[in-house]
Amino acid sequence: MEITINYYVILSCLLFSIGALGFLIRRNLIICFMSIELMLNSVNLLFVAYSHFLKTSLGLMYVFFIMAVAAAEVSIGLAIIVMLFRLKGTVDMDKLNILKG
Amino acid sequence: MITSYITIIVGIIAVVAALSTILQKNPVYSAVSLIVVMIALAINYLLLDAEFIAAIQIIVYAGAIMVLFVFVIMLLNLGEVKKYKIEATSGRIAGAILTGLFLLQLIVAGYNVTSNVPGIERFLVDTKGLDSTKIIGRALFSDYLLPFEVVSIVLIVGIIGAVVLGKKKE
Repeated sequence: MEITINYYVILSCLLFSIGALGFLIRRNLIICFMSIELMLNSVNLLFVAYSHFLKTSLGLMYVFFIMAVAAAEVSIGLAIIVMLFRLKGTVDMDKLNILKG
Repeated sequence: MITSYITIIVGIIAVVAALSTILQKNPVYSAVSLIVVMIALAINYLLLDAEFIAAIQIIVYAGAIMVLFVFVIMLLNLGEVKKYKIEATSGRIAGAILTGLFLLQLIVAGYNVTSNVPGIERFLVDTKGLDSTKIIGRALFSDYLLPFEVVSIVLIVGIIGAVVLGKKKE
């Protein structure tokens, strides 16, 4: 039994869809943020898999840069969540509607 | 042979833990499930001969980012959740249907991708005798030097932004 690229394509699609579903059905800001991380991870998996099967280093470089940007993004995003919680006392996305015109 | 089985088992673990991430009521359990997903993906990277990526997956994602998440959950005291239930509202059902369609489309689009990517010859590397760490190190300090420096600026902006946003207004 040989593992082909299709296995990784399907696994990555499943993880990405689960992340998107989590973002749509959950109202907790922190869990929605975790869903975004899940989606980023699924894309990383696809990059590494293609890099392996096409024998190129391009995918690995992209994964490296995605991880660096994800780290910066998480620190900013969590700071914003903490600030919002201080301001409104909740992290429920339905109650955070101050930008609604 | 045995690596094939490990790959499949690790994939199943990753999907189950991902589902657990989005369905847990308690955010701390969600965070722990997400750590399981990341470790499963790191094992997958090891099986794909990307040792360096597997190591920074564990260190950066499972170590730094998830600790940050757990720390914020603790800070906001979200641990005690009252009787919270994910109700099947019309918006959620529509979201689930849309995600299912999206998954179908992704798989149909991705399944037929062949290995013949035009223009890939430029990026092929001779991996004989080189491990992934050496390949990444060489590329980082030759072809990808500018992106590498820009990433350091992005990280500094991240640090400063987090401090500025987290500061108490006087």
